[in-house]
Amino acid sequence: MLITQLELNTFNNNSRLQILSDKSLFVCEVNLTKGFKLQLYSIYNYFVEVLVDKMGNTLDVKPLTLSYVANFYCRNFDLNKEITTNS
Amino acid sequence: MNNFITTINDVITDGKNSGILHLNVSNEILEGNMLKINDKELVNFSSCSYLGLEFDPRLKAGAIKALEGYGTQFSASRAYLSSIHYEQLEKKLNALFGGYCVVTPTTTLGHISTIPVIIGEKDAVILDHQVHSSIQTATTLLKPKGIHIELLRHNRMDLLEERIIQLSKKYEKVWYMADGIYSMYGDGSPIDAIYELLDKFPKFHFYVDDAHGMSCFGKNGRGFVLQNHDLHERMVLTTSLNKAFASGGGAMIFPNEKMASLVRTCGGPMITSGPMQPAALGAALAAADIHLSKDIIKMQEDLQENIKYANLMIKKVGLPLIKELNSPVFFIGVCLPKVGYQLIKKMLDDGYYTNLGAFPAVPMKNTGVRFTITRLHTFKQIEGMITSMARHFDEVLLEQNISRDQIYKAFKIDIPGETNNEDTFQPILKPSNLILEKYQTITEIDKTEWNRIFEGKGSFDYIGLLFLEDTFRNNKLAQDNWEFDYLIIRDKNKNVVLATFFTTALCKDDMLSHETISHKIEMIRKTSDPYYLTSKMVMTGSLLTEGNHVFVNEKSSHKKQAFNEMYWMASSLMKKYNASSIMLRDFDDGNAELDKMMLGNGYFKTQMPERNTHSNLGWKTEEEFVSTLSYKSRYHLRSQILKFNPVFECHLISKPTTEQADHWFKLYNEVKNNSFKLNTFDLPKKLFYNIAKSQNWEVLSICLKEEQELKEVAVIFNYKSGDVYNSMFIGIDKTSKFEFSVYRQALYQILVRANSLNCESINLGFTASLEKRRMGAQSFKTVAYMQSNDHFNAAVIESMQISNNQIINVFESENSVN
Repeated sequence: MLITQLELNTFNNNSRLQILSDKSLFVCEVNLTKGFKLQLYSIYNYFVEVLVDKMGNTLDVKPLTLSYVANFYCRNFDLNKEITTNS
Repeated sequence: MNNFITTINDVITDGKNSGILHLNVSNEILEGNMLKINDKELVNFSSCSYLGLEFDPRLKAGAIKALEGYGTQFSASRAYLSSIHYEQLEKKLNALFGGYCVVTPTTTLGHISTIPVIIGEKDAVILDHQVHSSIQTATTLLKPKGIHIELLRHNRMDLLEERIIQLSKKYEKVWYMADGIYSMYGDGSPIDAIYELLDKFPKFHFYVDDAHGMSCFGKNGRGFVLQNHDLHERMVLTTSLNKAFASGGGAMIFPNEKMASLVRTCGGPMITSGPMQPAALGAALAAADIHLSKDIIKMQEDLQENIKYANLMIKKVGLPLIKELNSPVFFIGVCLPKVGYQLIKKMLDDGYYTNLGAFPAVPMKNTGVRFTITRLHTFKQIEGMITSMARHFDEVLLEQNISRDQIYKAFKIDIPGETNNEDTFQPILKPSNLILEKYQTITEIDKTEWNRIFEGKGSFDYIGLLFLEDTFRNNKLAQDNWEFDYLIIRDKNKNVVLATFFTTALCKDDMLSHETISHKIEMIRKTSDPYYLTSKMVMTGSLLTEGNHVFVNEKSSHKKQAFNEMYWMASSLMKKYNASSIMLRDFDDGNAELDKMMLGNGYFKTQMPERNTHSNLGWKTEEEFVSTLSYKSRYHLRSQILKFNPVFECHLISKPTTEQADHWFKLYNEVKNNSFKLNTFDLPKKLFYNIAKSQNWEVLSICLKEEQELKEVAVIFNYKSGDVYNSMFIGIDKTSKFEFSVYRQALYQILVRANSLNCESINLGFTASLEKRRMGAQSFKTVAYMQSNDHFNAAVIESMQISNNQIINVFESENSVN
């Protein structure tokens, strides 16, 4: 069943991860300094960003605005291409 | 078996036969929340171990350690010896709850140990109507001491305050007993309001069972009740260590050491019952450590996330959740047991095990699917179960031809607006291919057709109903005004499939109760409230008719569908007239198919008094009649009746005066006021005046020959319908020295009169079956099928039946009828 961005916001990180594992599509990963990574997931009509440390622990899971995705991710990636490739 | 036990047995047996109750798990080893029933893997949605601690390695290790140290048991009464674990556990629980704890082998034994010890003879007890049965059971121990106990409508704080004020005038302490979270609907007690009452009224005390709130809520898992409060100085908190605490036993938490010590030393099972097993105590010690650590916070959060997700999913699919709360107990209303059985079976096929919430835990028509959410569930499992339920919910509603709106109405909850989910739909009920005719007076119905169906069945042929409508309308007293509704169902060829009539009247709720109960209730009605334990009832037939009121064309293929229409008409009348119950009555006992159909539609069976019919007519002489009887009956007739014939004179009254009608009323009341077998309101005087004017009614007068004059000692009111003579009721002069002979003489004179009219049979009515059988009558076991939207009054009456020395008095202002 569809979980809206608003509904996702009501859950904690662990629950959000559960929802992601069931309902999302992995889009891309951005390597940050000191082994940190940002992972971008798509759930139906919105995106979710996951911050992971070098041990693979999830530190944060948050839904994103489209403008954030466009500004941050689309500068470096061809989002349409990534989605097509992954799917 | 009494009616209550029979009904429970019927419901549970039906559930067993449907394959959803009394099931056995076949796993040797359980893994998480999966279990196997009949070799089918299922996700368990019935566990009360809400935090999933039973699989925590620390609890297992604690249990093993205690087991290895003490063996499988430490078999000694705690009055002599307690294992080391008890002291350790009670100390930890003292810290956890901020009170003084006594651990008991079960919560039920805890109540039995505590309640009789802490409640004194000068105290009063108020039980919430839905308080757990283990508390209700324990309070029965107070009854022999004559302690005042009463029921309160569920969570009605306004009424509670009134009762505290009233009872405080007379009693030293006023105890209110309730659950923290109620086990069926998962709703909670209004704790803040109760604490306000505790602060406001110094005599008010609170006894609460927080079994379902334990561990899930509050600091250190103290529970739902203490999540925002500390233990009050006038409060006893009881809880289970057998649910989310995942070990076993119960815990009674007292506000002071003195009270805890008293229960420990004097509580019956504390002296005479065995202790908890070491393994359970070892597990409890480990569970207490977890509760006292920060680990519990994360566990509680995880559970709340699952509960939140379940609530969200339910909202998305639009299932009728009865109360949306943050408790782990959920209840989806399905209205009727047959819907619940089907839905649970289909979910079992999909791999999900849920519970049926049915009578007696909830009223018949408030059946539901009850499920619990634990920390062990994944979102995927929760979503899968709720999706399965939603999909089958609509299928089953369609199969049973029930709408969601009917469910919302049964639970008295608002019909929600449309959900956002396009998958959710309102099942479109199958169009009925039957023609329903509904009327509110017999005058709108074709006389010939009605009489073709009902003439000779009782006193409810066309003229009989005209008489009843005239008599029981436009009267002063509420109980003397009945509503009349008629239903004729035809097939497309206009053939009658089902016909009946309903009356809705104010009735005494103890109408079918044991005479001793009615006698007690009548005392209260006479002294304080004449409408105590009364409510409106919709019934087939009426309080003044007897016989088969529901005509069904047995050959019709639409019979079942017609019954469904009758059920829904009865339900709509209940709503229309604000009635509390429906009674479909006067059916012969022993019809298993009818029993099953009624039960599936939320009607439970209850025994009525035996119906007596005499069809041994057509004799020419007295001797010929006598010869038809058995040896014993012949002796009885000759020695008890015919012998006294010369003392009596019987005649038919043709043109009675008003004074005579007044005398009939007096004689009727003499019988009525001394009999509670079928406890009804007194018939109005107007009835007797109308009988005097009616063509189909006739009155037989039995007079005693006294010196030079005749003294009327009995009157029998009869109604002739077709070839059937209906003896409706009787009035007897109870002061007569020949009282028993008068009644027997009256019975005999009825036979004589019916025989002289060439009738085929006589309906002799209910009660006094032995006397009637002696005259050659046959007795038939008769049943009614009942449905109630409110168990409160029935619970009060039921509680009286188990009371030895006193009445459980009930304050209920809503009972009174203006």
